[in-house]
Amino acid sequence: MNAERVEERAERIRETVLTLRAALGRVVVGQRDVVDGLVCGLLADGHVLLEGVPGLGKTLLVRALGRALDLKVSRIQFTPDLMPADILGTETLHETPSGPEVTFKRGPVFAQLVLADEINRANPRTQAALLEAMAERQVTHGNETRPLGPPFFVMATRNPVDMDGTYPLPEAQADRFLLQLDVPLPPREDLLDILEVYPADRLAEITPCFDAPSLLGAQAHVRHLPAADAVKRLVVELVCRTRPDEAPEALRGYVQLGASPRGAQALLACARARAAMAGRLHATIDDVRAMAPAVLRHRVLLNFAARAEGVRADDVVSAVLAAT
Amino acid sequence: MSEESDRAAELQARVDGVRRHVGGWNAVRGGAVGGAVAAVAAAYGEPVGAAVMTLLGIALGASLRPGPRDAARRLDEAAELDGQVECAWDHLGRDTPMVLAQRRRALKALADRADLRVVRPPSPAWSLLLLSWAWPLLSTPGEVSDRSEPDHSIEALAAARGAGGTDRADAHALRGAADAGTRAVAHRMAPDAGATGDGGRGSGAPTTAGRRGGVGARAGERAGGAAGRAATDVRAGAGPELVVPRAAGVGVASPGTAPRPQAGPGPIGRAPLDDVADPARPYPRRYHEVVSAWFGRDARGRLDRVERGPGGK
Repeated sequence: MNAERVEERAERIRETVLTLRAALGRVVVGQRDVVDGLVCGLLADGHVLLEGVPGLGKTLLVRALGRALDLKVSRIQFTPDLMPADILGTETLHETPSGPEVTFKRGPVFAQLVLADEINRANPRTQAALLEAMAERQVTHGNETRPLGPPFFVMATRNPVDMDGTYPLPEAQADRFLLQLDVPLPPREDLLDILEVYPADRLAEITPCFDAPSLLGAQAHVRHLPAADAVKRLVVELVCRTRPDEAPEALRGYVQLGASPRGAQALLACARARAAMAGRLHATIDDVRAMAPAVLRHRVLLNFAARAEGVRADDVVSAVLAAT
Repeated sequence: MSEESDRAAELQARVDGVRRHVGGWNAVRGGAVGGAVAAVAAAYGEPVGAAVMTLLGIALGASLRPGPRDAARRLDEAAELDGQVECAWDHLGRDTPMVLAQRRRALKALADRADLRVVRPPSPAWSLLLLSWAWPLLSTPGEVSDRSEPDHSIEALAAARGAGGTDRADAHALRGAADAGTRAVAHRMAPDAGATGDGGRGSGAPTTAGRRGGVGARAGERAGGAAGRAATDVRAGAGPELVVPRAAGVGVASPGTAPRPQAGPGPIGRAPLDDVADPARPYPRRYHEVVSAWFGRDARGRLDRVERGPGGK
């Protein structure tokens, strides 16, 4: 591929993103940042966790994304009695003309876009079933390993308020999400527009604008976007400053665990994806700063003192950004 | 591929150009600072140190040019390219299609901004440093007394009164300061000359003094002569044996410099001491001031000699 084709592809990605953004915006009124974050995760080839109170349109947004992408979509409603086999699949015994035969019945995880609704309602054992799938994009069952995708995305939702009968996400799994997007309550003016929207109709109007090959091409484009050394140094600095011994002085006593190296990779990947969404061919410091809260907030683990005093991970990330 | 090599060379040239430009202005800044320090050194009679400080400032300023990455960043800031040039510079050694496309885009964006002002010239405040550098050179000629003739006469009168002289002696002293004193100095310094170096006033002095006659006139002449000499010596800061090699209408030249023409009539002692060719005082003025202060040979000592004049007790 030569430089001219790179320019063409960059422009095509920018236009497709604009189309996708408009399509999602027709279904989910407002929430522009959430939509952008979702598309960013898509381009950066990462999983996204949507967190918000019930009724904000999290599930609707992911369903709209599934329709806008010409991908195989599956949905898993996480419940307390969900078992790992319900996600990954199981071996079943079949009677065939040649005799009984054991075959593997694939679970809903074998899709290209998996909507994991209310992921924190399943117990940790079931949640752990997604660990290998999310990190390595494969499922090992017995002695056999089966690949997932590509592409393969997990878009999960989580309710931060209703904690009865829920299980907190294990740190290992939280770290596998590229982004955690907080879905805020819509402002008054958006609420007026929401009253006029009938989601089922709008969902039916969505036409796919990204198929799997073009999405994979866009992801490859994003992966190869150059970033200046200053941008990379900023990523490292931000990640290191979330660690307990390097956190900002005022909040140092509240941090139990900081972001991992995977967090640093995720931050740079998201900065690149954001640059690609704007049609740029290089990631900037502004991209890193803009994506840092969504990338780092679920990777900063706070201790009991922080919870007792109402200190949130976002406060730590904001302090880190202000100090860097 | 040669086109891409040209682009890499173009980027290199642009970055190097910014570095040179910034280095040049830094040399100016360094020269200004070094020159200001050198001015102080020059005031203390250290010309070699002054020259070294100036050159050191220029060299230090020129060496403080930005690194290539900083230069690329300056280009970005000037053209508002949001890190494009810096990114291209960081990937100058790579030639993947993505990097080549990014470099091409960065250079195109730079080329689109024709009126790019990458380097700001030093602010006008730096000119103050340059002025402070030149100040000692400009101020030295006018530093010596620029007082008028009446000031000298009043000084002589004050000397006579301080010595307890009478009104008559005062009058003599005034006249002596006005003409006879001048003539006496002229006679003592250049007896062959028909006039003092002061021009018209000096040339008429002998005739005027000769018409006065009488003891009073002679006493006044003596007193005035002494006071005139004292006044001259006070301004000149020299001892009683000072010999001023001045001739009528001829300016006094410093050793090794061209003679400076006198603009018009003026009193004896108006010339700067540094301009006086005195084999006995070959060192800079500052040296003699220090020595004089050390041995107490200042203005008071010379006023004591006035006390010993005819009007004194």
